[in-house]
Amino acid sequence: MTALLSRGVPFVLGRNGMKSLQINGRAHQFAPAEMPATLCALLEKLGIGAATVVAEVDGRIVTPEQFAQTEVRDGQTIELIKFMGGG
Amino acid sequence: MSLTEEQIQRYSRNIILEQVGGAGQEKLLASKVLIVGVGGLGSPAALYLAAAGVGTIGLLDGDQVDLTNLQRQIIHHTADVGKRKVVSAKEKIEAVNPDVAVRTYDVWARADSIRDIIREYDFVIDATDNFPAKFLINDVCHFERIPFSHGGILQFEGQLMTIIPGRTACYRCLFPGPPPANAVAPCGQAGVLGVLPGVIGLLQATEAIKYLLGMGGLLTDSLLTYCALTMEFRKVPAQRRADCPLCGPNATITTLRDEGKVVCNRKGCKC
Repeated sequence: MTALLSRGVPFVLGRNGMKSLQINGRAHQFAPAEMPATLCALLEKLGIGAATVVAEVDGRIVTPEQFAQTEVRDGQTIELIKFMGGG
Repeated sequence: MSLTEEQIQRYSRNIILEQVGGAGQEKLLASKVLIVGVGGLGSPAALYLAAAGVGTIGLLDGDQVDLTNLQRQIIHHTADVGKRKVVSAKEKIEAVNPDVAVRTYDVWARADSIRDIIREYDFVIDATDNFPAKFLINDVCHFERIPFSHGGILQFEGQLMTIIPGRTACYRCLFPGPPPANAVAPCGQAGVLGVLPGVIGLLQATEAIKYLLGMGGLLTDSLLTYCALTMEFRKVPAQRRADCPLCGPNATITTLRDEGKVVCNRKGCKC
């Protein structure tokens, strides 16, 4: 069970019924009603401009134009990778 | 090529390393690295690669030294303000190590000019300060099959990734194209902590030396991110993408082109 939990199997809910996302290496908990439905909604919640990052959801790259259609589910591992143009 | 007595002394701390040795040092002296952008990332990379004895260093930058550069671009000194960056950097490299042959290109990175330059080198360091140039270097290196290190910085954060074209994830596998105009503030507007490019630029130089010597494991198929505020380094896995517009099987980018210039009205800003 521990192994299942650490892999973030979607149907596993925390003891308190919270939903969780692993975002840039940190666990984020959301009450079920507060859980963002899409990547767009997640970025808005985190205060990150949608055009400033690409996302990797469970290892799959999602480009900014797909954010609105990309559903976010409990247990996912999400990397938000910033565009960095400076040198 | 065999090392002189003076070279054996100069590079003794390299040579004493089992993984380098005399043969490795000779290899470095016979190697050619191109640094595109002689600014925050390019300054430390150029100085350390020169000190390490990379035999040929190319410097490409069409800009001149500005007073606002000096807070981080450590190859340029106060007396260099107004001087061409490639000239200023060449002088310092030659002072650090006369073994190094410096080639200068006082031009901007553009599709029509950079391809013939890049193909002469063994490894390229992307130390540019704008997205069109970063994508252009990725594309040229893909077509010419030249390995390179992508580097980028913003405020307190930096990122880098090593790309072996045709074998490992490319910059476009992660970022298919530049962000929309004005979505990401350039350093001139957003600021950058002066020490930050030192960290990232030297990690890029480390990758160059490792590649040239075939030593250790390269930072391929993953992006290393660094945050100076939290002191966190993270490696984000980045796989080659089947739908990569450049290196995927159904690539849509088949010839070299300049990405559209991002609009920025700030004086002297190239972002």
